Amino acid sequence: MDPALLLLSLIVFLPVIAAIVIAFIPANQVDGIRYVTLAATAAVLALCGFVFFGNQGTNYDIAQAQMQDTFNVGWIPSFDIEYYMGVDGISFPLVMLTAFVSLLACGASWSITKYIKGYCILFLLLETGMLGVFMALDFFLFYVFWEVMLLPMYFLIGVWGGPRKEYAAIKFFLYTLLGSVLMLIAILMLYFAGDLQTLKDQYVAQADDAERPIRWSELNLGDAVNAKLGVKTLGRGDNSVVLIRKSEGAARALEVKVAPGDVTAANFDATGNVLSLMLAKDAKAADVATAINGNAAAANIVVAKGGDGSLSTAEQAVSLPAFKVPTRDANGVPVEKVHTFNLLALAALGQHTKVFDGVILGRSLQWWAFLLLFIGFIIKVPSVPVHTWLPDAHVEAPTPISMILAGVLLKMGGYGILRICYPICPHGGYDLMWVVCSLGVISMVYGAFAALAQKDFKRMVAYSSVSHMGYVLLGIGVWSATKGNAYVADYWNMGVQGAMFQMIGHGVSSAGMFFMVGIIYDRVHHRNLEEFGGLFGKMPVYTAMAMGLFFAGLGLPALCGFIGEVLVVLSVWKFSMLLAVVSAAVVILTAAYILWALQRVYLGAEYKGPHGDHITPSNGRENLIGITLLLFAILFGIMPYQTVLKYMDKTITRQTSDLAKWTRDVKQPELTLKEQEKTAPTTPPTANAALQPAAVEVVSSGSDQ
Amino acid sequence: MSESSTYDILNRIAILHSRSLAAYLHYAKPWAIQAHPKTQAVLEQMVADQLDTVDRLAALIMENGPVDPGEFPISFTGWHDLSVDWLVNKLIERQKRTIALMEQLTAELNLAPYAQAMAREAVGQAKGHLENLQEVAGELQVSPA
Repeated sequence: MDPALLLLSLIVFLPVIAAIVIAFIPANQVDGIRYVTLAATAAVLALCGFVFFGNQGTNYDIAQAQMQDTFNVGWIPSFDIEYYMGVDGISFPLVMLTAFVSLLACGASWSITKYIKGYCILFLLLETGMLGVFMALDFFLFYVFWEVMLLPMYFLIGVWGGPRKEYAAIKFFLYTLLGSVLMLIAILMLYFAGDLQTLKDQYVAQADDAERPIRWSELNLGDAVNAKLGVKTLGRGDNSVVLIRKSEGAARALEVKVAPGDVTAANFDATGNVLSLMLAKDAKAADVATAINGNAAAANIVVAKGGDGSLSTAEQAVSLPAFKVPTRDANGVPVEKVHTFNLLALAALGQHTKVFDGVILGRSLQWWAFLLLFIGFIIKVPSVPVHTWLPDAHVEAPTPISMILAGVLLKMGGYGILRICYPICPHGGYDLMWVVCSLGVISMVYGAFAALAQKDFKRMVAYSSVSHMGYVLLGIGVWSATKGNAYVADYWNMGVQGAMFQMIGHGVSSAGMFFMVGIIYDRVHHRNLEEFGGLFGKMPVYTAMAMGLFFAGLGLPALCGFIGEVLVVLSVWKFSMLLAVVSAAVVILTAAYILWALQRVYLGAEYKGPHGDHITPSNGRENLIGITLLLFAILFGIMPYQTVLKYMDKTITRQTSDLAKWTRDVKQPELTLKEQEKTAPTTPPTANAALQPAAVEVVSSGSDQ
Repeated sequence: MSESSTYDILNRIAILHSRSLAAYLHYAKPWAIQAHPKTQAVLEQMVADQLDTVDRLAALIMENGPVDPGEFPISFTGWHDLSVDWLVNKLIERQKRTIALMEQLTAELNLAPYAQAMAREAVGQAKGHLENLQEVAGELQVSPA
């Protein structure tokens, strides 16, 4: 079995296994249930550490930009739905963050005393959903995990929440479901419009020696899809010798891909027409032979497995069918489409073919898909004007769920925009860049002013999340790789890296801030900012931790909030000086609401609220969680590259440079053409007909085979 | 000093007790004093006596209006976790000032004999506390904590 398949599946589904175990533990065994939950979340974090840092076969390689530890198993082959997962620089830090915050939130769950069994089961299901979202590379699978995450959250707020928990839970559910429905519509649009035949036509048309923009081997298409395309997977294994006999008379009959991993030796024997490859011991080899010249090809494959024992060889004759040249309709659209949910393939389709360029209501299909997906994701971020579920959900949610909500769930919106919206629908991203950036800045400013106006401590922190996530949206949307900037993607790259860092940093600082609010709420049972004060004198260690974490949220240099914010603000300058100035000015507002809150809560000589006699210093469990979060906030602040940025650098750099090339090669010529059309004298409509993208095929039930 | 009503004067005396430095050190629980049992005991006794006095004053105050809870001076927050001998000296210094102020306020209560008697009792109690503090300070000078 592929180690990636086993280990990544274990990371995702270990919490579910633990939830099943808990289901068999009697409900009155409260401590047992809690410790099983804690052990499961700890095991997930430990497993992440082992898989990505300790296991040679699945180690995360920071030098690689592409997906790593990928596996692709047919799930519902009849609809091209695959159990396809992997990690890269965008998802890996978020997977680690999820495992980390989940463990700390589990530790914070000791204050929960109601229906522990149900709570723990739902908590673990939530963790599986979150991890799955970040690892899924099949759009359908992504959607399933997205929905899996929604239901536990609804119950965790609705059952374990505060006085207005039902209202908050329903509001959260409806908002998120609205986003999910929009996402589902976009998924269907992209699935039915997508055609891998078109992608392959593009790929085949490219010369071998050219730097191919389509990286076929990285798509990791499933066997069922490959079979439709005339691609055959020949074998997988490590420490293997792979011998491939090319067919007679085929100039370019076979392409052998070994990914990822080193080929220690490669030799082509022209006499025997045999290509032999020696794979490195730790190579995660997927040997794919592809007939790419339109001719049938035949190959003899010998896989000799090495290792400690004697070599065992197996030879199989493989017949590769020729590509079927699809029959095309009058518009040139292939009739026989090979649809896919593969996110990487959809991205390649979006950037390198015109299948998503059909016109609907005056806009391209991918423009609409971007809009639908974007709305779905900014609900989760959340961004103004679809943010109103967040303060209610946070105020009513129990402390550990607030930690999860702020620390991980909000990042799914940013992740979705980065992983799905931009790579798959670049036209939408380019056309709406000002909308994305403006929404980011509006969220920053509005969230900060709203936080300033709050009387409820938790609501203030919730609005700070709206403001901080505005930086994420702004950083992602800074498409500065335009003609005016000579298609240089450096500043956009900086913005996206800043946005990603902001997500990680905010995951630590916001989880910490909510935890700090929870500690005091557990004691005095109120959150009125006007009725605190003097906590420094009564809870010195707690106050010190809170100060550190709130300063991290504020964006103080040498703490985790600073790096992301400053990278985003710097990157915006090349895009829009006005937005850069406004976003930089938000730092003042952030300082204002955080410092004012700290003053009202922790400083002063005396506590002014009720239950003052219940104020006791933070206990060991609370200190452990708080200090851990604070240490990471400091660590990320003083070593941003070593702890976070180096893991995402290559992937983000490649994504932004790919989209910069797309801007130069695809978008700019299109824009130039439109400008010429505007300036040119009116021509008969037939003259431009060839320049128009093909109309979208209306797919009715059963029409698409 | 401007003319003040009995109600205002009693409220001020009550605040001097309930918002004293001793009360703050007991409220904020600085670790330095917790590490010195003798000082802690004197402080606790002092605070208990002060609260008792406040309760009795409050009964008298409430005949004419609400009790003003007062506030700890913000300067107290700058003295968290300072050494015991420094804090005891600060307590002595403030206690002397408090006694002087209370005597002044007591003198102004000549139109309310019952309230004046109660205030005099409070002054006497405060002097007793001052002696206790000075005793502790002497011990701390001999054997620093």
